[in-house]
Amino acid sequence: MTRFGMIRLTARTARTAVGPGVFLALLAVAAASLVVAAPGPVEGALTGALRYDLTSNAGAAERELRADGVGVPPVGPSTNPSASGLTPADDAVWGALEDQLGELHASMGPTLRASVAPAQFTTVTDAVAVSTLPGEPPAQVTELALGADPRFADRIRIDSGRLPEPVVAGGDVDVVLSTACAEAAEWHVGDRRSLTTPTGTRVVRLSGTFTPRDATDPFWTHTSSLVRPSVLAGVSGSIVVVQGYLAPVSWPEVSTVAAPVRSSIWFRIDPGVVTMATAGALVSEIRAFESQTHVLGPATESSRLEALRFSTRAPTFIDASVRRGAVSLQALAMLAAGPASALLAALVLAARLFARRLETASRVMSARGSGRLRLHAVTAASALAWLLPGAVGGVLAGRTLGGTTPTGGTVLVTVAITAIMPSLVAAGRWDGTGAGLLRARVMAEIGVLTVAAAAVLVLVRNGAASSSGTESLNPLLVAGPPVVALTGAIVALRVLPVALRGLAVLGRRRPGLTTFLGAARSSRTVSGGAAAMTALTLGLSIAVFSGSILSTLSTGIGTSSRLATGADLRVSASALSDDQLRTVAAVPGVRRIAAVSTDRGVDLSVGASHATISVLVVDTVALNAVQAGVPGGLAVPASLGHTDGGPVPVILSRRAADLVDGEPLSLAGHALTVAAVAPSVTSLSNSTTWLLVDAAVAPELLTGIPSPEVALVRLDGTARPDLVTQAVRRAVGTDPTVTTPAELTRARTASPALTGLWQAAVVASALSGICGAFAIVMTLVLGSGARSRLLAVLASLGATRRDERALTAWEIGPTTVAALVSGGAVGVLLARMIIPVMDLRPFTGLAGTATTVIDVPSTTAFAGAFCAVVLLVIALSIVALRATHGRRTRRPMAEG
Amino acid sequence: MTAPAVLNEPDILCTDLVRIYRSHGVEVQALQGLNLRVEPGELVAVVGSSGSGKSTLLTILSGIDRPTAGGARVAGHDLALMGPRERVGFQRRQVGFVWQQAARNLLPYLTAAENIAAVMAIARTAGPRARVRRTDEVIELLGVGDARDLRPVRMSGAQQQRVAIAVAIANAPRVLLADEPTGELDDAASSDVLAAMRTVNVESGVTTLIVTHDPSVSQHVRRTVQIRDGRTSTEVLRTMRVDDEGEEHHTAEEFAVIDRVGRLQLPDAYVTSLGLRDRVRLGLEPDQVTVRRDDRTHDGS
Ligand SMILES: Nc1ncnc2c1ncn2[C@@H]1O[C@H](COP(=O)(O)OP(=O)(O)O)[C@@H](O)[C@H]1O
Ligand SMILES: [Mg+2]
Repeated sequence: MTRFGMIRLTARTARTAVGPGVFLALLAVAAASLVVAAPGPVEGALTGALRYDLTSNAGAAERELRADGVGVPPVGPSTNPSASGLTPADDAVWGALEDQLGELHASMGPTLRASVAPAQFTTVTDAVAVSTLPGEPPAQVTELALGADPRFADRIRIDSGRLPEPVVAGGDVDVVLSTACAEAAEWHVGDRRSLTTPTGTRVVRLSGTFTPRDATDPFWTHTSSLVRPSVLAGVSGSIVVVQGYLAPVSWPEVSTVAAPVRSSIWFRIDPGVVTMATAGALVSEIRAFESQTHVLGPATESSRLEALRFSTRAPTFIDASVRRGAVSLQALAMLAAGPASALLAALVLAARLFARRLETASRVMSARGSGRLRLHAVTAASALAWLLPGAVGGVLAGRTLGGTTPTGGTVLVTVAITAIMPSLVAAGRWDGTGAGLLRARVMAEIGVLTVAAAAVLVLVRNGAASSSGTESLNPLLVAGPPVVALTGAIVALRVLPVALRGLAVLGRRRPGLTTFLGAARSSRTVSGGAAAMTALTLGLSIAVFSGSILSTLSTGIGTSSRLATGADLRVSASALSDDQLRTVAAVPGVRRIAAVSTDRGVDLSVGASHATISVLVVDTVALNAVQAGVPGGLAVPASLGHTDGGPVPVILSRRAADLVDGEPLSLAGHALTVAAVAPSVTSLSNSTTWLLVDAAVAPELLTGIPSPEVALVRLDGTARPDLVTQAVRRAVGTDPTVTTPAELTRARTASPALTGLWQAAVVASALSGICGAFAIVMTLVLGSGARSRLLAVLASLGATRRDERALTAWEIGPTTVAALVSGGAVGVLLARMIIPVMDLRPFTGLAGTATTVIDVPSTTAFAGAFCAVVLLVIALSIVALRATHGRRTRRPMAEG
Repeated sequence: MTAPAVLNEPDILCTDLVRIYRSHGVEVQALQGLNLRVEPGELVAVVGSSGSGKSTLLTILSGIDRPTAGGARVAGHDLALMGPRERVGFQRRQVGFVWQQAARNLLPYLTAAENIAAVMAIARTAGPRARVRRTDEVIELLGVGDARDLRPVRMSGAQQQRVAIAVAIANAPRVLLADEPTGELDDAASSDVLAAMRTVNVESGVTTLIVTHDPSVSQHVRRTVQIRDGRTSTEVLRTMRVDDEGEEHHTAEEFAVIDRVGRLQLPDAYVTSLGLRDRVRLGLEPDQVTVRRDDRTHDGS
């Protein structure tokens, strides 16, 4: 015979509770895999959001780390010509620069270095006049800038002629122009013109014309007049400005004879490499790089390139995104509290169920002299035998699902929570109702209430202040909702028995047994459902709360989009021509248009002193018509259009009003009177310190009114905004930006951070619903022994199956209903209390706190889906339990 | 944890044992001053109708429950004063028990042999090798070789109880307690199990106390104690004499039990046939005590 000891006994004991054991193991798998997997998608979503923000909010130029300087970059060969990738001739001129740019790249911090592409540069002379040679027919008045680039040949395709030849000392300078430029300059391939430089005259020959291989390459944004000519208004007709490339090896000779040289060097930050985890390091490395001056040596002649200082707007965008990320993380952590607590409750209940299954065996072992400690050890080990593989499997599954490698500490904590904690619960004694247990309950309740009160107090007093601007989690915000929800559960657990006793009293007066008996039993066993109650209350409150966060966010984003647009449609550019405005006004569906000009740096007399201010000029009648009923619209008083010879009425921005502080104002000798004060941030201008005058009176106040930068458009009521937007885009060309509130909202809500939040809210609600329902079902199963004993007695008294069902319903009904009621109430309370102190500004883009919106549809959807999941799982489980009921009661183990 | 070496101490000694159950404000006196003395190696049956307190007595004697008052000593341990550690040792080495339901005796998921080994493992009374030997021993002693690799559900009722006895004596206890070991069995199986108990008693000398509501058990044991309303009332001693022709003569004598303070219970039959009620007259004769009806109370009613 094989030996049989404690280990085999434990193993066999563990195997007897297959049902609860498998359930325990599955819960452990679920819990552990969630804990381990969650950081992966969360990190992924935050990184996705960061990249999205960097790509869609920041322009290509804003993502670049760029330095501009006057002077010629160093000339000379590289230290390792064979590695430079340049021809030996080019390397002799450009190699040194390439080397130094490489060193510059290498001098960056590691994160920045990995996030940027190798340096690119342009170096170009100022444009100087080129004229046809004597005796040749006159052509378009043209100014020519000369640039050189050792890699230019790779970026262009020659349309006619050929690439420029190197300059033979003092001889003709070969250039290539883009075909568009050559046409504008009326310059034909092979034609020679003379270039007048401060140091003398050189003959320039057009050797060929080209078009860019890839017109969308952001490289071209660093050039002007290269791909397309610029046209300036001159005294006698227009002047065409073009830039040409000369042979790279000729740059040293030409750059010294020509006009001042300007150089730009830039590193493009690749959004696809940036991650949320490294964002902080990236920003600080960028700042460090920006704070240094870089000298490209060696010091040669006078024209050497001055010290460079790089700058970029990327940190602004990264910081904004990180702040949004912090809000998301905060919200995600709060959402996670729902399923986490529900899972914990389910684990605890499943562990008790498991222990219940081992009870008979435990009693036998105990009677045979198994000490208490050993008995607990056997139970704990039996539970662990199921839990540990589950937890380990969960960790492995989570690692695969989440695509992350958890740290040893994470694994330890995960296993401790999902395997060791439940097995200790299984081994512990839970059936006691002694004074000690009651005291422990009161102590625990007082503890939770104290923590909740403290959390609420601190949150309400300075929650927002402590949370904004940091990427780290505010532990108070994370712990607050679950603790408050726990308080709700505690209160419900105390109130429910009282209510049920009241019901029982009522039930006694009614015919039929079940109301009285059900309520009376329920009132005594409520505490048994504490775990289920807690899980459900937490789950639902978090579901309602997350619904509210999301509706607050989307409402806030909608509001800020409407504020930012300030009309049905907004067209903006650095300058909108009369032509463009006319075509916009002519687009079908456009009813009215109000063009706003901003004259910056206007000198305003404020009392005895002066202030610099922006003056917005707009036809206020048109503006009122366009902005009627638009949120954030400027309500222009009717008086603004009329001066009647008296002081000119103006509207001041809040910031401007603060600046002038009630002093008498005058502009160009005209006294002003403040008709109204408006919010500083408007859709009319990007200036915040402004005064607004009507277009009718503006000419008297300003020397010249600049072209409008913004046009606000009102559409016909019947027009389809998307179609009109497309038509307006076609009408104004690619340069102006056309926005509508809907498009802005769509762009902002498309951020992975927001979609991630939505998904997380849905997953969290579903998970906590399922786990909460399981907790209810397990409570039912735990009470099945007592119930069937009672039912046996009742059956002999003539109770029907209906009474039986009613009693079963009474066992879980009150807990479920109370949990759902308290959960809903706590959810609304949380939304009212915590959302106002959450800093959602990074998301909504609003200047102030977003108003908490407990939006009925989305909150109801979340709460409703949660309740539906709970009820469905309960119903399914009861059906499943009933199906196995017969087998269960015929077990030979039944206690006599 | 060794038993104090008191010379001539009985293995079971109950003196005025009281156990009162209190639940929901109702008191039930399950034992009301029970006296019982069982000498080492004796085989005693305690017979009483249902609800007379037999199981209560046995749960106290096995250390699972505690007396409310009175004294109970088993194998030298004072059960009223026993702490948890002592109790564990007591249950491991000094007592074995057999209950009516297999579920209380055997772990349903283990075979007979494993059940026997398991109690030894729990009690840590033997090393792994000794456990194997002892398992074989008790299996042979109880003749349950057929059931050795069966789980309880596959065994017959008699086999279950024989295995239960094997489990109970696996740790070689001084006292074996059995509560209605034949309660769920038919007559043949009952005899079988009682025979097994007798065998174990004779072979291993373990002091054995069987508790049952079945009066016929008394035919299988030498000494039967009657228990009524939580008190021992009468005792039957059965003697067997083989006469000169080699025939067995069984005689059974019934005794009433008198406690230390002189209380005794009259059998129901005596009380009803003489119509004894409320008060009786006692008379002391040179060699006996008489109990007579008090005629005055009868005339008065
Ligand atoms: N745990 C208990 N709680 C309350 N009363 C009990 C309990 N156990 C037994 N009793 C009562 O004590 C009396 C003796 O019971 P018991 O010892 O089981 O008798 P027996 O085994 O002889 O049938 C009975 O009236 C019974 O109802
Ligand atoms: Mg009994």
